[in-house]
Amino acid sequence: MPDLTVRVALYLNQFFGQVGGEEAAGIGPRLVRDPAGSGRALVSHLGAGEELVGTVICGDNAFAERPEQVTDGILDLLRSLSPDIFLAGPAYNAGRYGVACGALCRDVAADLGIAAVTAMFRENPGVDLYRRHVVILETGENARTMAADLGRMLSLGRRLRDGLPPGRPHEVGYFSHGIVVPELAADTAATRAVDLLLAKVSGQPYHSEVELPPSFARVPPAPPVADLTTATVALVTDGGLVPLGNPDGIESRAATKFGVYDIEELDHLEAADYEVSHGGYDTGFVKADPNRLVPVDAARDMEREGHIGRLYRNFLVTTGLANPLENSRRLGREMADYLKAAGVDAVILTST
Amino acid sequence: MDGASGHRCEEKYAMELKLQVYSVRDLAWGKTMVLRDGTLSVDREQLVGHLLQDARLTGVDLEIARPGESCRIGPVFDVAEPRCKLDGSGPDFPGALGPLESVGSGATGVLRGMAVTVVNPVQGPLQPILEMRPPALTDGTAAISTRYDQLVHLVVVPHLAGGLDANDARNALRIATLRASVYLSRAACTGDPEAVETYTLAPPIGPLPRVAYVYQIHSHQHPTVAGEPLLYGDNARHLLPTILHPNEILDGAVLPGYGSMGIETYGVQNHAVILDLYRRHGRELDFAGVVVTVAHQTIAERERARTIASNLVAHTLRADGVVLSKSGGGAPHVDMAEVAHRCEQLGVKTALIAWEISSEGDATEGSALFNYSDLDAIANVGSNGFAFSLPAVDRVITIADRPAVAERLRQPLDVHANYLCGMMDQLGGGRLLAARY
Repeated sequence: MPDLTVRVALYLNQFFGQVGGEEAAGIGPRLVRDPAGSGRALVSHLGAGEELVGTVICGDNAFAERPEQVTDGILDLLRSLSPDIFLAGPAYNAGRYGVACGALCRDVAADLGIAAVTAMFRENPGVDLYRRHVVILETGENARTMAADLGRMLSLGRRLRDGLPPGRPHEVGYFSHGIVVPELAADTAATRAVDLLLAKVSGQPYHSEVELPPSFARVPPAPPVADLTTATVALVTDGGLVPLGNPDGIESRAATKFGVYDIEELDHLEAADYEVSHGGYDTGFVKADPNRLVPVDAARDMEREGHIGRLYRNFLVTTGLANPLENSRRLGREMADYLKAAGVDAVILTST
Repeated sequence: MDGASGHRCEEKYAMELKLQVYSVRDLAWGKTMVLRDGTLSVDREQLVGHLLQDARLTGVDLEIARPGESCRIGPVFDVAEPRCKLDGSGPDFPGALGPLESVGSGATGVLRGMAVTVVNPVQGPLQPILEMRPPALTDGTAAISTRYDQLVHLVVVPHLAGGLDANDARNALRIATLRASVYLSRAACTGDPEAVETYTLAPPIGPLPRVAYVYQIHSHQHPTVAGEPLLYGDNARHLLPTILHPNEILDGAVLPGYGSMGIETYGVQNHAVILDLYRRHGRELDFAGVVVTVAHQTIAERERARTIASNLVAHTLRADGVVLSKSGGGAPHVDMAEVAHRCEQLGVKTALIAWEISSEGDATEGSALFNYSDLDAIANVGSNGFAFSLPAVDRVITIADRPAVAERLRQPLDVHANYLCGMMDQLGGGRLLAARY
């Protein structure tokens, strides 16, 4: 007769496994068959036919210092338990522990093919590292809520074990994986917007379907250019001006690359030599006179008159339209690296 | 003035729109224009002759497309619900087609269940197509039906006179859309309607939250041109925010721009936000009215619009809450947010309608183009990034005399959601949702 028991395995660090404090953080992985440490609080949540078959305990430093070797050891111990559900933590705001829980959930799901759930505080570095791949329930900052948190982990583990989707992140309380999925909603967007508004007006809970960026980091400005009359100045734009034929195929929206185009011999840009790869603004004026987006004519005047030392021999261009933040940041870094390596001292950025 | 005469004034001037609804379940070619047992008989010659009054058209082909048919229409210029004013209660599409008198009161005939859909022979940035079968997502998870694949379409394929400039040609297409719509409904909306829908903002009973709507009718990132009819025939190029009665919008005072992304005339006539606020008026909320505005090009215009729109919402309409929507792309997203943020500062709660734009990248970060923390209630209309795989179709209705376009459209196509007419109605009429996991 097949074994119908649902076998639950737990991972704890040395502290929550009650092996010891920081002095025990170097201990390697070990398996405890009886409920141990904070795992005892899990037992009361187990339903009929569910069993906590073992707890793996490992020191935070051991995991952080030898992650691959220790992971292999932990996976071997877990395999010996044939678990159906793997729970790690909760790690709360313990950084090394959170990272270990996230990594283990990812590896256990991949190698053992079973449901894996962890939980931690939102500022734990494990969240950003593993939220994309792992179901991480959100907890408070400290272990006061341990029993309830273990209960939430177990019930989500059951859902995943049964092959059910985890549900909406904000409803279940896990950190979103950062994916956006098309669905057919029950109501129109207009009705959902009015629902949101009425909840907001009346002080009821509501959840936005579009999230705001966390916060745009303050970028400290570069120090002022000490002497503009000796500086090399580059023209850079996200307005999509490209040579006729768009030789590098700069995309007209959400561009993934930037182009570098020679203006060394040019006193100004000729309209006949350029086109615009940008679907987000009225490009008529730029097509009529590309200098109004990439002001080579004015920059040459300033060069001649000695206001700037030299106009850099290329202009750089990309297309900003509907470009995701992460991609924009990468493009910015790459353009800055390029200009830095080329000895450019200052940049005039024109946008649309 | 005593109380009694004040009461009479109110009764006399309350704007009340009665939509007399006639259901159309099928179209057929015939020798007369008549609606019988749900089938509208269309006399092709009559309708074509009517549309050819416009010398900018040299010919018109007419086609019928039915729900569920293996048929693709495109590029689509516009989709409209056939409507006409009845009993002389106002002009049809004032300023665009009819004289500049008010609409929003009296009776309007509606042919429900069908649409006039006009093919666009003019090159433009967006070339949306309309699928008569619900298109399937590329990942195979679902087919997503739009409001348009459930209608019978009378498709107008225009032949344009030579030498027209693009904007004159687009104007001819807009006028043809409206003319066909009025002509069909005028002929068919006779006898007793199947239903009458009454829209009036009678004061609600009881203390309900007052809710306004800020309707951004256009984004001038693609500026309108002379003669492009948006608001009582005006091109709204330098529109200052103003208050309209919602009935005016439902009844033809407002039209989308020529190249409006995801907004068709049909979506304005059946404005999802306005209809939802009406549905709840007097029960869950007190519909305070609509402020129309546009997204501008210059900083001064944007700041002026933000200031006036938010003041109208807070101090003139005295709203407790406001819904805002946008048109166009990214810049108007920010204009909408600026108005909303100012409303919040004036004590008016906000909810916004926008699309989701992060799906092509990493979506762990939010995707709004602003980060005012008080704008924390946003419904989305899906994402441009969603990919659909369309099968080959048996029938294509496209630009006249363009066999290469017809052949390309006949083949299987991979498109994004914003190329599917009706999939991402920016006025919130669709059910596509970009859900975060």
